Amino acid sequence: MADARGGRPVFSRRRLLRDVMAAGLAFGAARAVPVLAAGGPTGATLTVGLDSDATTLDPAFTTAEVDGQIYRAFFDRLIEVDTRLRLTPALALSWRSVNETTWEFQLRPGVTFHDGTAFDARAAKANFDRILDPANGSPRRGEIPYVKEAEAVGALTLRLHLTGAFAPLPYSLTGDSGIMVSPAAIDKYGKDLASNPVGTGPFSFVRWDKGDHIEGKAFPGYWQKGRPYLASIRYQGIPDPEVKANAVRSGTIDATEDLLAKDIAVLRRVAGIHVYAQPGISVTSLRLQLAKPPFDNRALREAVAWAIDRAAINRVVYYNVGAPGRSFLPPTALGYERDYDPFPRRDVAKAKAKLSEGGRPGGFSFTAQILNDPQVTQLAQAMKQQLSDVGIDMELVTLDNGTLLSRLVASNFIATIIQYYGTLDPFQGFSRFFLSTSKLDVYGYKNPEYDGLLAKAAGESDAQARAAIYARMNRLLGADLPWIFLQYPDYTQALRDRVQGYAYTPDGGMRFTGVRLAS
Amino acid sequence: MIPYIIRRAVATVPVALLVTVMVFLLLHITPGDPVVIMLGEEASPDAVAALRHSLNLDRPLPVQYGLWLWRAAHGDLGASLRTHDPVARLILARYPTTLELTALAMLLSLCIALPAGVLSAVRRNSWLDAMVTPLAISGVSMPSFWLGILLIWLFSVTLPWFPTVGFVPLRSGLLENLHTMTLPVMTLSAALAALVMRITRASLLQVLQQDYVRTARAKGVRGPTVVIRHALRTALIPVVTVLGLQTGTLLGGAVIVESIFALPGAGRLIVDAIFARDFPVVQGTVLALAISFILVNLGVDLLYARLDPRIRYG
Repeated sequence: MADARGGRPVFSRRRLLRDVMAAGLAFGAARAVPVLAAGGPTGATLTVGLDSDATTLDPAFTTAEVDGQIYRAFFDRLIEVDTRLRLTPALALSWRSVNETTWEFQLRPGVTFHDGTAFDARAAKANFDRILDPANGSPRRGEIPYVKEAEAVGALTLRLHLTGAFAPLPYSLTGDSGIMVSPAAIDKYGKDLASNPVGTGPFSFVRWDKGDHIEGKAFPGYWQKGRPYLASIRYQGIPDPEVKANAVRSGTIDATEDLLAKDIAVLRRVAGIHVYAQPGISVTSLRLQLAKPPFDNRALREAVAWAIDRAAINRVVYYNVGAPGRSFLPPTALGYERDYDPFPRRDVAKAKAKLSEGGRPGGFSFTAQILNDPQVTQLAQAMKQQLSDVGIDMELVTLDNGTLLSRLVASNFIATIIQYYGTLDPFQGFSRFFLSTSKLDVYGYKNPEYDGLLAKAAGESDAQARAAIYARMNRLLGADLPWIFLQYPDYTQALRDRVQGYAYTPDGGMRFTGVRLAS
Repeated sequence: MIPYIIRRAVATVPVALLVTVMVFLLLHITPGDPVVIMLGEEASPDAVAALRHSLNLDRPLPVQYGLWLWRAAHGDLGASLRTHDPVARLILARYPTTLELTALAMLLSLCIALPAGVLSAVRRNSWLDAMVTPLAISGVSMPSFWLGILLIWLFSVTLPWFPTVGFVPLRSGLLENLHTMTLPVMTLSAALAALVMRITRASLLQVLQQDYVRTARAKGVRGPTVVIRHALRTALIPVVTVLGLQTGTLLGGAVIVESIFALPGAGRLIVDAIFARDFPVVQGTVLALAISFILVNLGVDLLYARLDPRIRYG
């Protein structure tokens, strides 16, 4: 920096400030294009922001929701669902129940895994054998509880033998238990398969910077010819929900999911972003312990149900992202009845009458365990206020997820507010939580009529007939109230407009096989 | 000095042991079963029992701790309960990011705080001092999670200068790395810069009133030379002490900053591990951080002698 007049260096505060600002602007401008984003009509990289990094890339052992999103890049399932949650062929072209305890699957020909291994009935059997072997301790085993054995009866014909009737099996196979992994990779990597995923999916694995991101590149041998359109995909873990919303807003990422209701309201007003907030298959409930007072008394459960204003909660806490909860089955579930709403509006008089009927006219108090999450806290505070109007005192104990879960499975609670991420066919939820003989029943719900209907549903292969049974079970739960249903959360996703060809699926899974990136 | 260093290094061992015992006990006192967290509410009791057995979590606590300590003494910090990755590998992969973040934050703090503190002391009660002091108080008062979100909103959403998230490691390019580290470093350094500025100012004001400074001025040494060559060196001793102690605060702050900016550092590793009750990862990472803290403070003690020749180690 020299002065033209005399050649002597001249420093001035103003000049220094100007130069520093200029350098800053130049640095910023030079790097203005977000590092993660890459443009172009085809062959571009799509960046997806998720709640966290993956825990494992071995589908047989995952227990984290977030992993499932990443698996959609690297793996295919035997059966898929379409945008209306109807079953569609994927690696299995067709399926049928040979008898009550045997299902047969015709597999898709010409499919290869990323390592070149052919996908056939033997490969599929190897996957089921791995899940079913108790020595492996796969959490997937619980998702296909009645399956005892897989058999390759032809090159492309697989049979699953069951211990009892289980009509919802095809729905179960749309989940992680229906994912096919290369048997050669299973042998080659062993436990290291967790870091070396080899599937038949649209993208093959490139790298995993643990704690940060995962990259995949388009698999040229993908069975859907010409797809995927993207050159590569990147999954970025972003633990802070507010930062996640800002990341899609700034264009650092192209797509994300599971946003806070308040961020949805903001993102909807931002140009260049498309927000999906649509009914999913979840329900948030106040789950009650029926084996202990006060909730061993049905009238008191009903008093709580009548005292809660679900519409207000949905409006104030969730900014109308979702719908007031009515029953165990959310609107997208098999068996949901649009007209069934046992507690259509808050009724303080009925709540007080139920308190009298339950022998506690002056009200009662109970402790509810809640997650240390701002939205759940707001929900609980709103409920506490509403319940206090009828004399019910709900004391709140805030816990982290691990403690809450541990107390729940140990049946160490009186009431807890928690969200249930449902399954496509509600059989599993019906069975696990409310069947009187279920090992997982921590709520103490016993109803022989319900148990009978569940057994009937297990053997009913016609989906519509099964839906009718589910509707009756749903009504039983609505009358007996082991859970008080509060809200149906929407599944939320936000995508930049440059993500084209994306189709939202109500199971919450983000599928990018048919997606292009506009420049 | 060498015997002093050896004595201090030996003294590190019981401190590190105490840290591991405390972390172990705290983790096991805290409710929350890692197996239940891993398998979820829908896992069967048989599956929970089998996994608990395979992870040695059904053994008595002293046995679990003894096993961990024995392996740690042989350089094996165990494997993550959740991902099965060796803990040592996880720490080696994540620690450089945290070190870089804290080192850059400290550097940026010093670059801002030292000149500001010196100017504020030299121009005491001037408009400059009046401007810097409230800034410093704001810096100390602002929570890093709030400042981080604010910086993202300003420099990433409103002015698209920096990415919101997406770490680029140093090996992939210095400029790209600094580009992704700018906002996290600014967030982490704010509080430290404010604190160091205040301490530099206070310490320098005190030193400037000492006899040897007055003597230097009387001998005709020019103002800036008195401040920089004579006074500042002595005034830096409390600053260095604070910097050493603040390393712990910076490492703690890194936990929050790494979570906000999704940086793959040791701080986020600990947070995730605590929520998952991933005992070996928490144990190993806290041990590594504790040893770093001890070493930094040993370095600070050795630095005193460089700053003030009157200080000797025996």
